[in-house]
Amino acid sequence: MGSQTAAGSALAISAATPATLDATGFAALTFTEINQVEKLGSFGASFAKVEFQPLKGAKQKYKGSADYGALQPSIAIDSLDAGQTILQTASDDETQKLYSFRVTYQDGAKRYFQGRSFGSPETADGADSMLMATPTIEICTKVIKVPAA
Amino acid sequence: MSATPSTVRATVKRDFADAGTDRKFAEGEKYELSRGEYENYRAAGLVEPITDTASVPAKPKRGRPPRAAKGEANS
Repeated sequence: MGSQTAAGSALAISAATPATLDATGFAALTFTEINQVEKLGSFGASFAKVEFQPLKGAKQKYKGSADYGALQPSIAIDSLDAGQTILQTASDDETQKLYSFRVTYQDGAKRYFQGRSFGSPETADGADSMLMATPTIEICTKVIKVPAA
Repeated sequence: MSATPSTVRATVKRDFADAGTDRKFAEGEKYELSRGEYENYRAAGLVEPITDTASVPAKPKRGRPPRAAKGEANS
């Protein structure tokens, strides 16, 4: 059965850039896992819709520019966690530097991409809730999908 | 030409832990890290390279031998 739950999924970050933007290039990097991730959210490419309505005939639809989307994980803040510290560094980084990311699913399948964190707001909610961070990682390269071995 | 070493010794600047490897790092301690780990931790300001300059004694300055004070020579 190919279905699985999200339990056991992990998000990791690397400050390095792969030599090639493919599975081999990303696999050669050392990633640091980001601890205390509650949800990863949805991510992946979508295309702008280009429409044309001729005087005669049905509306025509074309695929326009690709947007690789954004990852918006929710994370319980852990100031001692190395992965969270690197992600915070990426959020504070005022340059256009790209960071590399790896999502690993329960069955070992991986998703690799590069992106920029556009901030990591912190949420202090009610007394019975964890102090959370919700960074927005804008994905800037095609998401490389590596199936489980 | 020398190859890049695969590990780096670094000093930890503050306590932290790596969830992926379950390793814990204590401030002020020195650790052997893989180059990839080192680059990630250094980018986050968690470690700094160990410089050997502290352990090497400083070279004595070259200079003239001290001159005798005036008047001492003939006394």
